[in-house]
Amino acid sequence: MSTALALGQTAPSFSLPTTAGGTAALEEMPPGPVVVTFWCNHCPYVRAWEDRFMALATEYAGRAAFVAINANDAERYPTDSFEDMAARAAERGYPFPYAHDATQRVARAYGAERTPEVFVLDADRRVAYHGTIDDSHELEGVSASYLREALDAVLEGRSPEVTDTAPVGCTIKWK
Amino acid sequence: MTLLYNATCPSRESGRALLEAAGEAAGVALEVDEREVTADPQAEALRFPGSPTYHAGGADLLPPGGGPFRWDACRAYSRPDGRIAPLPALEQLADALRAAAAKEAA
Repeated sequence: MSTALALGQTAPSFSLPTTAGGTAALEEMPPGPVVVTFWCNHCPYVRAWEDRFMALATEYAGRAAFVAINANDAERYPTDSFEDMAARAAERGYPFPYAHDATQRVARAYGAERTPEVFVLDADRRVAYHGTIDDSHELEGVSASYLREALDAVLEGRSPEVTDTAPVGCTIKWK
Repeated sequence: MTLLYNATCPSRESGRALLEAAGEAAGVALEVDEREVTADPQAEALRFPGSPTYHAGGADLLPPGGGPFRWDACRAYSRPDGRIAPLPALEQLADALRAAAAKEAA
C-alpha cells in the first residue's frame, strides 16, 4: 500500500541544497503549481524519462516550478552522490533545481518510494496529482501524459481527471 | 537460460516477455528458469548489475561494464541507439541469443 501523501494533503515544506549552489525551498517557490519529483542518477527508469521530464520543465517554465530531489544512499550507490548529481545536472543542462535530500527526511515526509515519482502541488501547496510522469518508460508506448494533464488542470483551476497512478521505477535506496 | 531478478524492480515480467520474444526472433528455443537475488553478497557472487539480468551457461548475455553489484538495483541497458533503458532492445537481446547459441554449438 502506498504511503505517499494523499490527494489534497498539504505538502511538507523543505529546504535542500542544490547542485547549482543554492537551496530549493518549497516556501520560496513562485506562486502557482509546483512539481516535486523524486529523482536520482543511477536508475534506468529516470534515464528513460529524463528527456521528457526536462522538456516538460522547459515547456511550463514561468507557469509551474519544477524541482528534482535525490534521496538515495550514496554509500551503496556512489553515482547518486552530490558530486555526481552536479555533474549530471551540468552535463544535461537540467532546467530545474536538482536538490539533495541527504538525510532522506523529505522523501520520508512525502512517502515517496521510487524514482521517478511525481507530486504535483497546486498553488496552495496541496497534492493535486501523485504518480508517474506518463504511462510508459518507452517513449513509443506513451498514450497518457499524466503529468502534463495534471499541470494543465491545475493551471486552469480544476482537478485533474487522473489524480493518482502507481509510480514506476527504482526503489529509493534507504540508509 | 536463467533470468536473474529482484523483487523491487518492476521489470521482471516485462523482462521475461522480452526474452521470450527475442528467442522467437532469433529462432532459438529457450528453457528459462528464474532466480531471485535478495542480498548484496549474492549479487556480487553472481556479478549481478541489476534486474533483469540474463545468464546463459552462467555468463551474462550482455556483459556489463562492472559493479557495484547491488541486489536491489534495476539494470541500466545501453541500447544501440544510445538510449539508457531498463530493458535491452529486442534485436540487441536476439543478437546476443544467436551468439550464445552459436558458441554453444561450436
